[in-house]
Formats: sequence, structure tokens, C-alpha cells
Amino acid sequence: MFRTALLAFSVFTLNGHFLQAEIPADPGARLSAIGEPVALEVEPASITLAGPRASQQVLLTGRYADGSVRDLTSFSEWKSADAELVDVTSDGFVSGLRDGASHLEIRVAGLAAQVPVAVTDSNLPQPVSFRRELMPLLSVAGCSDIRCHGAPSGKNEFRLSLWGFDPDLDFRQLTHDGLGRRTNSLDPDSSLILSKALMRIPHAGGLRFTPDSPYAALMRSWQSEGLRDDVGKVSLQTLTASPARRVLQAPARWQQLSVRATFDDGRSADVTRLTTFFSSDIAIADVDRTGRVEFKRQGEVAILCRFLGRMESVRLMYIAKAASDYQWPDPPTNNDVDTHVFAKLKMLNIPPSPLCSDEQFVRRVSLDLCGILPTPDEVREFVASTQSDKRARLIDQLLERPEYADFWTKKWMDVLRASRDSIQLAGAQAYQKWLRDRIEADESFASIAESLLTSTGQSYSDAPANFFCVPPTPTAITDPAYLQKDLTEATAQLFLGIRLQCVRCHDHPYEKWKHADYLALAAHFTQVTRSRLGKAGPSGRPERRQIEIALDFKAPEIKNESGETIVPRLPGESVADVPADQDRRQRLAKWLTRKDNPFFAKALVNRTWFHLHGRGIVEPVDDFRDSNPSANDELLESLAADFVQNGFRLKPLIRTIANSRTYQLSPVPTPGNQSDDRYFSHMSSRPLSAEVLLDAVCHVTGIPEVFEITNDYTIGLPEGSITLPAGTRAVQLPVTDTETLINTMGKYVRYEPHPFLRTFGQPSRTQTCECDREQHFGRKQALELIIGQMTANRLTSKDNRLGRLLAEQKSDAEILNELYLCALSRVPSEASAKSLSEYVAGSADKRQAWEDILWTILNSQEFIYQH
Amino acid sequence: MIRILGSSRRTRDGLTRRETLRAGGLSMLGGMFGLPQQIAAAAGTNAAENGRKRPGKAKSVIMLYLLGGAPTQDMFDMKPDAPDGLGGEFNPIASNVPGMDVCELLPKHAKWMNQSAIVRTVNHKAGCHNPMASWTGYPEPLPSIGVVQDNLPPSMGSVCEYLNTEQGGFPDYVHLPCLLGWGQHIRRAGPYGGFLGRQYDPLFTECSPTAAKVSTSQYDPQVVLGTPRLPNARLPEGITLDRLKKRQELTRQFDDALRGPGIGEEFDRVQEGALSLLTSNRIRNAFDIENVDPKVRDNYGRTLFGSSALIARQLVEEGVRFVNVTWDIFATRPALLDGVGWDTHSRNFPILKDVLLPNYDDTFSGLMDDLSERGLLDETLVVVMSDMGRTPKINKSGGRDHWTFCYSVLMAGAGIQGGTIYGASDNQAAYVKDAPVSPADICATIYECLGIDPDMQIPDSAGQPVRIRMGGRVINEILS
Repeated sequence: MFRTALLAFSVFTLNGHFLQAEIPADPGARLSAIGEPVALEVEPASITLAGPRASQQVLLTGRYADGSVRDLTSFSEWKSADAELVDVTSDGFVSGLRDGASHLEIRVAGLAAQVPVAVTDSNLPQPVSFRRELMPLLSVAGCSDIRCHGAPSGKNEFRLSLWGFDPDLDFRQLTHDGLGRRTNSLDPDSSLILSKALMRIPHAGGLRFTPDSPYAALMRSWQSEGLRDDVGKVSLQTLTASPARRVLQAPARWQQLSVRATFDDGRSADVTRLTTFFSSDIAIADVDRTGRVEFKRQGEVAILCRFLGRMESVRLMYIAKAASDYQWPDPPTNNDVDTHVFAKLKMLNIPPSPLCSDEQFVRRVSLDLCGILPTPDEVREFVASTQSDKRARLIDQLLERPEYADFWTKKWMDVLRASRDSIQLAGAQAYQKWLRDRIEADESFASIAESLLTSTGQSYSDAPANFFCVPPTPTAITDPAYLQKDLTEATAQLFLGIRLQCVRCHDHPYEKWKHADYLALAAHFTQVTRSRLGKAGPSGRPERRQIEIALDFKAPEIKNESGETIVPRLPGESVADVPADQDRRQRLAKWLTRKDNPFFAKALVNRTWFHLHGRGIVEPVDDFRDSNPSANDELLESLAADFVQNGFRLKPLIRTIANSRTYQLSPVPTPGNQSDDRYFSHMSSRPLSAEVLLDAVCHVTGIPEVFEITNDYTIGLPEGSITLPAGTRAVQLPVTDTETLINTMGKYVRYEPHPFLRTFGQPSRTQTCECDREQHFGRKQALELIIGQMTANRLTSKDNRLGRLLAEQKSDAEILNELYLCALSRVPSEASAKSLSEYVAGSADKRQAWEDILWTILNSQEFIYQH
Repeated sequence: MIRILGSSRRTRDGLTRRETLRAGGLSMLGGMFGLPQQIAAAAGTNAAENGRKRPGKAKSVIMLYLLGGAPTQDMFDMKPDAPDGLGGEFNPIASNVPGMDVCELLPKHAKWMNQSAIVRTVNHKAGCHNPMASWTGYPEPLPSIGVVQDNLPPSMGSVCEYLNTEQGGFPDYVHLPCLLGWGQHIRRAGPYGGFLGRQYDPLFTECSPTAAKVSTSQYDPQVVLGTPRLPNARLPEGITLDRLKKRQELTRQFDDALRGPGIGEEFDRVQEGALSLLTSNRIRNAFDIENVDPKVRDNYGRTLFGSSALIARQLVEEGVRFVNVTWDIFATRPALLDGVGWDTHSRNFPILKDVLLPNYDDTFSGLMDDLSERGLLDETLVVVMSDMGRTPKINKSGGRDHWTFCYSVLMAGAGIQGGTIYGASDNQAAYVKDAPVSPADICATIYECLGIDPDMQIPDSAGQPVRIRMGGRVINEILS
């Protein structure tokens, strides 16, 4: 599919590999980068170089009086005590020359260190390993990059597997493709691969390495040794990248990495120069081919280190210098959320904004927890209250309101794909009611997930079975495991917080997830069968019948591309025997909802945080991966632990987040945190979601929307529609596609969303992704509120809120206050109160003047946005 | 202050192009501005690669889109010598370029061939009635052509809107006369923002088409009349322009808590941009064709297609970069008017002769005349294309059926080497004989004409960079 093809594109620049991270040459800059270390630490403490071509990237770390550390590898003087025995470069890369024992001497900033080096077997005849050395080389040199020969169709008729995931193919390509002219065992220097890589003949990919580099030597030796493959000889056991985590502080912007591999023959070797490095965010930091990282600005990155198809990552953070007048304001903490958020902010020299006002808080928390605006009375009462814990009390009250259950049910229905096209109105209503009951009772989300994943039955009556009814039925099924794969991706995105779409076709290029893991997970859904009940509708129309979900214990197994049967296996688990008559989904659900499941709690906590802050701790909210580091690991872990502790219930989690000072910060940034949109230094302001906005417009104008939903039908045309009870809010709609468009020729019938809701980005509910909702305020949205019918008619309606207030003969000041309280949960500033009152007083038509003022309020960012 | 933005004809304070010219010939700078740097950064890709400056010849594109699949073998790739009468009922006539004959029903068109290039070998495998391919270059069939999906590639106009530096302001992408497929109660995929986001969808107009009478059958089409109008650009009842300006003034006085240093600027920009659509004359002028010289209107043809093309010309003059003028099909909404549009499964020749070709001929030549007279032809690219072509074989009902294996696309005006033919079809215009061209190639060529690097990368819905050329190749052979 297209999406998958696109995902294969790389975000990493190829040039990055070939560039050298720039270490300052200027002595002053070097001195400043070195500072005044008090101690040196060498890793490894002693070096053993066994075998020809053995090498070691040594790391030199300085320790400083303030407890900080800096990487001094590239800033030190490296000297080999016996240059005949051991060679060392100016950035600590050591290779053995002759057997024997010696040591390295390292000097920097008046300190010195020594490292013993033992060289053994340097003359041992050891052919170059195709799998262990040449394949990684093709990746490091960029040959098998997606933009080069690793592209699906290769480049210039030479194709390699992407990042070398298929060594068999690459071996064939190198030795047999192009009539075998790519390689030459008699005269390697005239081989095409070497001539191209060294640019001796024109090469669109340019010079990949120099003739005297170890890479060229490897490529030469492998060919002259007879172009041998060593399939099955070795396999990688562990891969460790060092340092695993580190915080760098200005002016030290550099970090050398080293990577070590152990193989199942017991050998262990430094593989830094055969590892391919990627930075998760090249705008923040780059990494070169030798594993040296250079930060460009403050921020955090994961550096992914790939060797032989294995991926490890290190996490690095760089803190720029604080402004000279900066001082950590040391705000009080309300709970653990603040402890973790403020620890991170303190580390990054970002001061949080001050606490928001009571007026801001009552509006924010009512919108976030219940999707409603507080009434003027609620605002007045809350602001007037002198109780010291009034914010906590308000949170508790809101969590018990029915609107809470409506609102959080809607959030889940959006990503559970409750669309009419898949499950009809009847299915959606059953689904909504079932979920709402559970959310209202604050049932464990583990048990909700379990019910969804293990359900069977008929979609109109057995509500959770709709989970299995929503995947679309492709018109022409080419993949027999389509349903299983869809369910796997949905489960992963919703409950593991992981997007597995890439892995549908191949190993994830930047992640640990393998194609085989994906299939093994999908095998848990093989027993699921879907059938339509009742008589079929006319052909050529979407299916509009009830669906029954059942289990078939004799269903055929999923097969992989080579035709092998896939055995069910859970991520991170070993294969277990599953009896043939056992519902495999039970096993999946049990694993998923286990207290120590590494994904479930974090995924749910992150999604909940996202709903309350407008941004996940991991963002996008359902995209957990090594190359997408969270904004605050400790926060995520602490909330997840709490969530598990509290029985996977949402209310305690929401209570914790909403009671934190972090949640209660002002939306107005300070000069010190203006550029932060990641670490929660101030509340993010964002447009209200479509449904909440429509409800708010109705609330403020006092004219509710009347919703009509077309009835379900199977054949012919829909039989009329139902009008939802007066006062039904948009967040309570069971489906987003409410209106039916009927083609007059009777050939085509389709559903349409409510026009206002669609304009403001209501999702179509066809994806398990929060991204389906388009939260954007642009020209179209602005126009809708400026002159759109939905608001225009409400402004002029005689019995709207203005009409009522005017009829009650309220004073201008009272009316103005009421409008402000309704829409913004506050009273106007003195200046505005004055100028707006003057506007009314100076207008010939008072009612019109009030309409203008209400229009202004409804078109203000303060109204349209959550903040 | 006159600020030259992405398009040299657009100035911040709403001066029209002519005023700008008077103000000092600033439009001479046109096209020298490459892609703004921040776009490259936004796409998270190599800035040096993306920001490469290109001398685009065309500042704007007007796309005349013949929905339903125009039989181009009856228009610009005629085969009078085709066996068994597959060549059709019409005769070719000589155009002003030797060897570039056109249909006898396109006499006005014939006078513009020296400014036109015809690509005769467009073909795709994206399926019938799938406009995605032609608007985006996306080569695959869709699960449903009646569903707009947000995870598909953006149309060319959406890319222009994405590059629009005047945030929330004047649009760079307009689609006339209605939502694609509106006349059939279908939302057809194609001209949308796709994974770039809905904010890059075109500004769609609406229309209330009429015809002399309701057709008696799908294959007895009427000429569709009407004028496109802008939704939500008409003030609601009781709201005068004065009152709206008063309200805008109130907005400025309003004590918005989210207005301050580092906050609220973007909102204000968006809102002001929206208000400017209502209060400035630019958009209103572009949509006002009542005051256009009646002779010019007659030239375009007083049809919905003709008035759409006229508005497109006015929009281009106001600085819009990409305008779709679609010959939509009004089969069910508001009623059965023009039946099948260009989807002539039956009575192909009478329909072409009585309705389609004469009206198309008027509009095309009216547009070319007008552009040329106003000096806009050297900066405006006109493209004529369809979602597909039609079978060489004439069926029992005298119609031609769906055909995606070979059809022609016409490109004229800015950036185009006039009088060129690219590629050759076989002796019945059934298959490509020489030099096949994909819809993506056409898109890449249009981008090239616009000075937009076809290799520019944009982020897809997963944030991964994708090249806008969608694998297409620029057809340099037809470029001037």
C-alpha cells in the first residue's frame, strides 16, 4: 500500500554520514570546551585487541567539581607507548599492529591517564566475514541506503537490500548480478564496487571512502579471499552502545559513542566503525560515521546504532547556557507530576509560567474533564470560594458529572472507529452505551480492553464485538490475513501506543520491531470470523447489515511470504504452546493487561495526558519508539505506575494530572519559556475540538442545536430519521456521520457529517489514530464563525441569550458581565467594559450593538481556544 | 509598504497587479523568489536541496478539467485513417501549426496551437474515473473514488497553498465551480490537501447551475449555465460591510487574554486573512463578472464553464497561483442537467458536436484571448486534462467507453514550447507507440513550469518526507 511505501523513505540525510562532526580547532574554544576536569575516566579500562583488524573506540570522560561530566575523547592528546605495536588516532580510535602488550597515554588539562593494551592473534589468518564485516560496511558507507542501492528498485541497475536486511540477496547481487562484474577476486581494485566507491570511475553516489581507509581494505580482502559467504557461522548475541545516557552542558556539545558486540561463539568486539548511526532529530544533533555526536541546539535526541540488523539507542541531552539573569524560580509542587516536570525544566533552565487564575482554571478544567463551559453561577461560586482546596474539590465534582462520561466516551469512540459505514447507527449506539457505562463507573481500563479484545457476538447487541466489526472490508481481498493485520495494527496503536504499519511489510528500519514479531502478534486473531446477518443489500453499495463475530478453531494459519506457518507469539515473549481449542485472544488480552506489561499503562497514561495537555509526553500520542524519545521518562513511568496501582482506572489518573501545578499553569508564556512546546512549562493553548466548540456556541447563545440522524437501512432508501432529544450536545452524538445524502437517481446513498463539525475537524472515525481529528484554526474555520449560518442565526435569533437578558431589563454592565462569564468564565477588564458599554450606549439599535459584542466574543481566540 | 511575497503580483496591502506595476515595475522581480527557506525546514529535509531556486516561467496555472474522460482522439489526436471507422465521425482541420491538426469542431482552438503543446501518450493504471492520478500524480487505484482520504498525496494546488507565505491570507488555490462530484452527490478524491492537511484544500466555490430545461436522459445533455460564488463570502442578512468593519474594530479593542507577546499573533493573522476575504475588494473583484465587457463574456461563453474560466482569469490576475476550472457533471444535483458530462458512453458524436466541443472551444479560446490581451499568457500556464481517455472502439450505442491506456493532455502558455507534440499513439489512438507519459510526469512538468522543484519533499501523514513529483519526470521536451 501507499502508506507503507512512503514510510520507507528515510529522514536521515546521507551526507550526515560522511561529514565529520566539527571539533573546534581554535585553541581558545578547545580550552573552553575542556574546562577544568578534576578526574579522567577511560572506557574500557583495559583493551584487548584479538585478531587481525581488531580495533577499539576508547572513550575519555572528564569529571568536574560540580558533578558534571564531559566527553573529552576528541580533545585529548593520545599517545601509543609503542607505536610499532599499537596505533591510536587523535580521537581515541585504537588498532593493533603486532602481538604484544603496551599501553596508551592520554593527556588533557594537566591530567593524565594510562590504558593497558594487549594485542593478540594479529597475524592469525582470518578471512573477512561477509555477514559480520562486509554487510555492515555496505550500510555504514551508505551503499544500502534507501536513496541509493537500498531503494526498492536499486539505483543504476544495482540493487542491495535496504540496510542489509537480506544478506542472501546482497551476496547474490555482489557476486552474480551484472554478469559478476561487480566483484573481482583476482584483481579487487578493478572491481566495480571498489572503483565506484573510490570514484575511480564516475559514481552518482560520489566518493564513499578513501583508498587507504579500513573500509577499502575490507572490501579488497573479502574479494581477494574468494568472495565467500559465511552463512550461519556467527550470530549476534548482544549489542551495547556507550554511553547509554548522558546530559551534556554548554559549551561541551560533543559526544563520542562506542559500540560493542558479543557473538554466540563467545567473542566480543568493538564494532563502532561498522555501526550505522542515526540521529532521531537532525535539527538538534547530528552524528557522523565514526559515532561522534554534535549538538546544534538545546534538546534531546536518541542516537540509533544499528549493527547486523540489531538496533540499540543511546539517549543524549544537551543543555545550552542559561541567560545571565536566569534563576530557577523553585515553584512549589502539588504532587509527583510536578516533581518530575519541574526537575526536567530545572535541568533545561526553563522556568515554568505562574499559576493560572481561578477563572482560567474553572473554564479549563470544565472543558477538559466534561467538555462543557461552566455556567456564570458556577464561575461566581468557584471564584468567590475561600476554601484552600477548592480546585481539588472542583475536580472531584466534575469527575462525577454525567458530562464527564459523555466526553471521555466520545474520545474513545473516535479512535475505536465507530463510524456508520462500518457498524451502522445501531452498532454505534450499542457500542457507545456500553463504553459510557464503563467509563461512568470508572471500570478498570484493563478490563475494558480485555472485553474488547476477547468479544464475540452480534454487533447490535453484543457491543464490544464492534471492535472486530470496524475494520473495513476491502472490495478485492488480496491478502487473506487482511483482517488479522488490521486488528493487529489497531490493537498496537490503541493499547500499545505503537504504530506497526511499517512492519506490515518489512523489519522496521529504525526500530527493534521485526516483521516476524508483527506476524506472530497477528496470529492471535486468526480464529476470528466475521459474517453478515440477514439478507444482502444491492451490490455495489456499502454493506449495511449487522455483523456477527465468532471463533473458528480450525481457521487456517497466517503464513509469511515464504509460505511458512506463523506461530502466535507475544512481543518480548517466547513461543508458548497454545491448545488448538483455546481462544488465542485471551492470551493476548491477559498479556496486555498484566501489571508488568511494558506498553499498556504507558500508552493509556500518555493518551490521557494528551487529552488534558493537548500534547502527549510521547508525541504523537500513539507513536512510542526508541527514535521518538519521550519528553519526560520519569513522569511517564511514575504516572504509569500509579495507574497500575489504582487498578487501571481513569479517574484517579485524571485527578492526579489535574491537581498538579503543571496542569494549572498559565497559558501565557514567559520570555524564558516562550520557545518551549515540549516540556509543559506553560499550558498549551489550542482550538476547542469541533463538538465542544459547537456546544459552547450553543451554550453561550442559548440556542441549542437540534440533531437529526437518519435511520439505518439495508436496502432502498433510509426510512426517515430520528431527532435526538432537545438539549443533546454534539459530544453525545453516537456517530459523526449523521446526515444522509441521497442521490435522486436512487443509485448512491452516502452519509455526511454535520457541516459545522466537519469544518472544525471532527474525525471521520475511520482510523485508530488521534491524528484523524484535524485540530486547526484556519481561514475556513475563521469564516465559519465570522459569517457562517450556524453562528449568524444564533446571534440574531430573538429568543437567544441576548433577547432574554434584554427582556429582563438588565443593565448594560450586567449583560456584559453575563456574556463574558458565559463564554470566557470571567468579567471584562475595566477598559473593555468601558469601551464596550460606550459602544452600546452610542448605538442607535441597542440589540444590534449587543449582537456585535456577542459576535466579538464568539470570534475571540479566548473563546475559540482551550487554554 | 509594498512587500513582495511568494507571488510577485500579491502585495500585502491588497494592491492589484496593475497598481503594483504602476508603483515601479516590481513584477519584473517575478519568479526570482525561490522556495522560502522555512518550507524546507518545515519539511524536515535538506534545505539546500529543497531551497534550490528555480526560474519558473509560469506564476499561475489554470487547469481546465474535463471530468468524465474526454475523448481526446476526437479533439487533438485525430486518427482519420484508423481502421473500421474507429477514427470517429469528425474530420481534422489544419491548425496554425503544420502537423498539429485538431477537430473540425475546434476552429477557435486551432488558432492557439502555436502556443500549445500536446502530450499524446498519457496513460495510467489508477482505474477509471480516478481524478487522484491527474491532480496528484498518485499512480495507484483507490479503494473508493467517492471518498476523500486524508492520507493520500496532496494535489498540485495544495502544494502551492502549502508554499503560500501569506499565512491565513489571500488563497493560492481555488477550485471552481463546486466540490468535485457535487453534481452527482459524490465527493470525488483528487483536488485536496491529502496528508498535508485540510488547511491546504482549495477554496471551493459553490454554484446553483441551471439549464434551459431538465434533460430527458443522461445522454441528452443541456448546456449548463450559472456563475460560481464563494461560500461564506456573502454577508448574512442584516450584516453590511460597514457593520462587519465595526465588528472587526471591536475585535481589536477586545481584551483577549490570549493576546500578548509571543501569543495570539497567528490567530490574529488567520482571522484578519479571513476577514480580508470579506472586506477587501480583491476577492470580490475577482468574482465579479457582471462588470466585465459583454464581448469578453460572450467570448468565454455564458456557460458555467465559461464564467468559471473568466473568474479563474481574474483570480490569477489577483495573484492566485493555482485555479481548477472543472467541467463538473450535474446529473442529480440540482437536477439532471448535463447528464454524463464527458463520460460519453452513448451518443458520443452528437453530444460532442452539440454541446461539449463548441462550448469547450469557446471557453478555451476565450480564456487564451483574454490572457493574451492582458499580457498574462506569458505568466500563466493553461492545462486541459481529464481523468482518462475513451476507447477507440465505438460501442453499440455510438459511445466510447472508459480508456486509461492512452490519451492526450494539452498545455499552453507560460513555460511551454508552443507547437510541440510529445509522444505518439498508435494508428487508432489506442496504445502508446512512443514515449509513454504518466500523470505524475504531467504533474512534475507543471511544478517545473511553476518554478517549484519537483524534488521538493513534503512530510506525509507519518512525518516522512515524500517528493512531490511522485516518481514523475519533467517533460523537458515541451518546455520553452
